[in-house]
Amino acid sequence: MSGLTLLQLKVSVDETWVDYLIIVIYFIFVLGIGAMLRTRMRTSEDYFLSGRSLPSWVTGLAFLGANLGALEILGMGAGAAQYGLMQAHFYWIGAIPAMVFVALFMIPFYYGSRVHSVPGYLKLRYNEATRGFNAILFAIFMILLSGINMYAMAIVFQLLLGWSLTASIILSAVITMGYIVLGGLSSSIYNEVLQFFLITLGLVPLVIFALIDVGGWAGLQEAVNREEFFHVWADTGSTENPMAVRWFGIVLGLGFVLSFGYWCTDFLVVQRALAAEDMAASQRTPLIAAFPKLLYGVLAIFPGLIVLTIVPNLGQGGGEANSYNMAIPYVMANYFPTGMLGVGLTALLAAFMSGMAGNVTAFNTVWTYDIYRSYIRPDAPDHHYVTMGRIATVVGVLLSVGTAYIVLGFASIMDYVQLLHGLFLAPLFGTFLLGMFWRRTTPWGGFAGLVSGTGAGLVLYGMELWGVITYGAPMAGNFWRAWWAWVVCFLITIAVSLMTRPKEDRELEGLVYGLTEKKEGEEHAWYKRPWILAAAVLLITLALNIIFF
Amino acid sequence: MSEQEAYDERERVPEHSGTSHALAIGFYVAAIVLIFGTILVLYGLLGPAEQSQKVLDFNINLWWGLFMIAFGCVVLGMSLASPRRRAARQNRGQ
Repeated sequence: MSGLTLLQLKVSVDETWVDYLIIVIYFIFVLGIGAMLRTRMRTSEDYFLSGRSLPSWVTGLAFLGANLGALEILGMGAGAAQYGLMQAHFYWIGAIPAMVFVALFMIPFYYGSRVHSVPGYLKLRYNEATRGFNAILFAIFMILLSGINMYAMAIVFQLLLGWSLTASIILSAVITMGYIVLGGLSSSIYNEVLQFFLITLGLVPLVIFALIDVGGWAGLQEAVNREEFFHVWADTGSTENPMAVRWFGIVLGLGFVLSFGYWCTDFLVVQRALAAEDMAASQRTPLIAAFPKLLYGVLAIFPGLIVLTIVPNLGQGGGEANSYNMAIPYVMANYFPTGMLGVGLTALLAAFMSGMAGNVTAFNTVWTYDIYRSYIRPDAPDHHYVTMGRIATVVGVLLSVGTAYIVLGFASIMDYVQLLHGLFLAPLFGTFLLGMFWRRTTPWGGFAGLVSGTGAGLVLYGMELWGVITYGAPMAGNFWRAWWAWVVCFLITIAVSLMTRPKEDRELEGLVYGLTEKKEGEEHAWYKRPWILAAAVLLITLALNIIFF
Repeated sequence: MSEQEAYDERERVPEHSGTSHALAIGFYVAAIVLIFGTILVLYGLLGPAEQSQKVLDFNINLWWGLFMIAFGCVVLGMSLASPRRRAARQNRGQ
């Protein structure tokens, strides 16, 4: 029994040696495979992209695995406990359409241009200043996200061991550092695939048994007894809904800017698609990930509703142990006996640890290639940069310990992550969209747009903190802030572009949609064609929106 | 060489470095799922009886453990039967 029962919550954690055994076996496997693979990773290309040799089912599941970090599991559950079923918008208007767009339009560019990173693309399409500005922002963004994963890992240890948050954060830092130093990063694609299966095998029984226990969907609605928590669109004609935002705010802020911004420009996930063996497999990667992603609209959201039947006042004061973030860990502790609990918690720990490792890898790629190699030491041998990547990793973990505490200032990590996405990714998405689809966009137009969009986001957030602007719920603020940051970036980019000199068409080949020779991936099997997969996943998404309207 | 060409050159890398990880990933997933499944089944059978009281008087460790074993066998079977594995073997045979 851990310290949680002392908090007078109705949740008891029955952990025994079996749970620890399962966790230990997992770590042995992860470190073992990392050590085996490390000897095979010779070039930096191998290290970061696994030599571009993977089939699409691997990259597809790794793509999703990389996305199933703290945000996905703790965040979506927390969001559901806070906002009800409206949280599913993050899947059924958010993620899926954006993933389809990435597959059909963005991947051909990334794959064709052979750059390691978003800053790499910005350098070719715009200029050094744009790339440098973005690289620095991206490095900060990754450290903040890494802190969220570290916090998520810490609350699982807190639940299991009953330690204080600080002790749990330090334990998480030590474990993640060990994981990375012993070669965990070189197996990150292996672990992301494994983690996808573990999380699914942990959440499926949780949702099934919890739903049986509360008496199915109808029983859940009755037990939670909040009518507004069970519709995705019905109450969005006004702001009288849990997210306090109207339908067009959801469509513009979340459906368009936040989701497209995340899936198009977060190269932590995009990188997975680039590891695929050929163009067709690369394009298929986000589509293969989209099908299980649909299912997560149920697997990650439902526990957040179910927790309200166990701890009805979750998130209503009571400090950090009663925060929305505890939704999924509490449901697990409530329904899983020792044994199954070990599997569930291992899945969570696996996700958070590799999510954090993913953030730290992205941080070290940007630092090593886009800052260090570009501005500090351009001509060192390849092994020098691999070593620098390792140093950046250690520094990244240490900085994340600090950023983990920022999470405590927010009602849920969902609110916090969307704040970060709005500030860092929304303007970037404007810069990308114009750069790719409007050849007249000029280097300085892009720079001015990106800087002013980022500035606009910060100013709007500052005004909210000072109380100049108020929203009914933090999420409404996140959606609108992201939208306006994007609009400012979009308009300023156009205005400055019209006043400055564009690049020659010759320089833009392979970087702008109209000037790129489309290399269609050879694909003979009809069920593997991108348009077919895209249409199928969009139809199911539409059906889910109607069913849960 | 222009600045941009020099940049392209630095970023350009061999298309394939020849490592095929796909098979190994299948076996890796199967191994972990089978081990966890086996632990759950054994604990479900031999562990204390109170474990079933947590969820609806149902021995979730036993049944979900069995499901995981079945699932692990499917992944293992698919990895063994994979055309990539056959191709790799043929290459070695030649």
